[in-house]
Amino acid sequence: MRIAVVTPYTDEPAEWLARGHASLAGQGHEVAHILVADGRPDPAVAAWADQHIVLRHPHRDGGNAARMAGGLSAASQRFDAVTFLDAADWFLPGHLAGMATVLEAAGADAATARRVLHRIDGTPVGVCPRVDGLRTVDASGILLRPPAFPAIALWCLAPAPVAGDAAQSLLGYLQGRERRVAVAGPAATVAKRVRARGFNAEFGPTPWDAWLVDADLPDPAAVGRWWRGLDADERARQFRRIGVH
Amino acid sequence: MTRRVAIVTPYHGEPLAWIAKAHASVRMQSHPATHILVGDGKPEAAIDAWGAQHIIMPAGHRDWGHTPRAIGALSAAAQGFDAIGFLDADNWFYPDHVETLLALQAERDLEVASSLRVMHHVDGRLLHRCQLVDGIETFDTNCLMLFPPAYSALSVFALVPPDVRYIADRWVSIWLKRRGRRIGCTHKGTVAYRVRYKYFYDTSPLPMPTEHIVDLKIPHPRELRQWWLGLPADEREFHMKVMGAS
Repeated sequence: MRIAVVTPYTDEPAEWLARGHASLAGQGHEVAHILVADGRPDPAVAAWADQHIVLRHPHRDGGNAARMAGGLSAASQRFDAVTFLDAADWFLPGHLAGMATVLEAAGADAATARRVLHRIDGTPVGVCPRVDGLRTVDASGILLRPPAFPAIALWCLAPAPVAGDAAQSLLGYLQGRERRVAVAGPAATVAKRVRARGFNAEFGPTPWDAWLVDADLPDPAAVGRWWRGLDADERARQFRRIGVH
Repeated sequence: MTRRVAIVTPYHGEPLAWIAKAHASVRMQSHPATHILVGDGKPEAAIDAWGAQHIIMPAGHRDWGHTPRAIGALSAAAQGFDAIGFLDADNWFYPDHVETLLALQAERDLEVASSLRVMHHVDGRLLHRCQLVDGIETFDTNCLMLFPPAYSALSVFALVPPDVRYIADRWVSIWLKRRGRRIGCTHKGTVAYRVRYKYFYDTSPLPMPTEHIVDLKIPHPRELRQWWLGLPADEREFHMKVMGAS
């Protein structure tokens, strides 16, 4: 399977990007790493990326527009599958092989994986109890095959109040459009580097504290609550906008 | 409140003077618009100084600008633009293009508005109004303006089956109609369309231009339908899913 891995970046440390890139080796499939600069292109990254897209105008949307640009470009280039890897994250060994296996076995259009939370310095903390790959998903833990490619637009079409965690709307779109989604496992194979200050506070200072952010780690279930809180007319309007109807 | 409008222009090797003319026509619109230019494999550094938004793709997608068009437009959607239009790098708008489309949309609560187009010679001189594009049954991408309920059609530009990607605008129009989007036309020719097709000059008394000619025949809608119906049913279903049409 020829897989495109799309990584949006802005100003993350080069070491983080390199770790994510290195994690793609030995995944058992032909992989092309597409890096997408959201406003701050780095010539060093352009030198080692398989493909390098530049959005000169920064979107400041947590990488959503960059994920869309890389993902849609890959879809157009007829990759067999497209997945996403945040600049701070990396894949654990066997991740893509596991995703591809579950796709084939289930005859699915998309696969999801669970995640292991890590401190900002890369030390593992434990499997995330909030993301199960079925009702909730991480942006780095979803792989799409062609029948699921229309969902790539959701990175940019997710309603503004929940666009900060657009992966949940993407998963909801797939389910709403009756695409088959399989969950890989049982192991969690996405390494999530958590930048939330509160999450890291109890572990003490690290050399990476300049990259801590004050926002909490998003609660994926909050997106579902937002959707369920809409009245019927507004929900229908949003469904029309994102293409469910 | 002034509605925020984005105009998306993919480019790939067109003369910089043509791109500059297109850009100038966006800047001179009677209703302000933000120009998003997408370099599809042949980026022009000069554009960075134009005060436009600029997206740079590393390699051309070889699909007549449809993938960069989709990417530029979805970028605009992510930025919260209220309307998104398109302009090919070799064409330009007349000054009231955006204003008339917005007025029609407001009057009829449309989700898609279209204009007509006026044919121009490769050298830029005015020829005549286009006899093919009527803005209802037949669109040209340059004539379209999409509003948020139609933004989910934007990715279709990039997801059309490869064999017929060169007429992705036809598929977008089919998608919009199948999904019941409200469409209207200004019936005003506000797009200047620079005709580069060889077959156009083959059948006209005009002398054949010596540069910038494209030898590509756009099929009649009937031919497209025949091609589609000639595919196996499971392949048609696959393509429909990839485009998000089923």
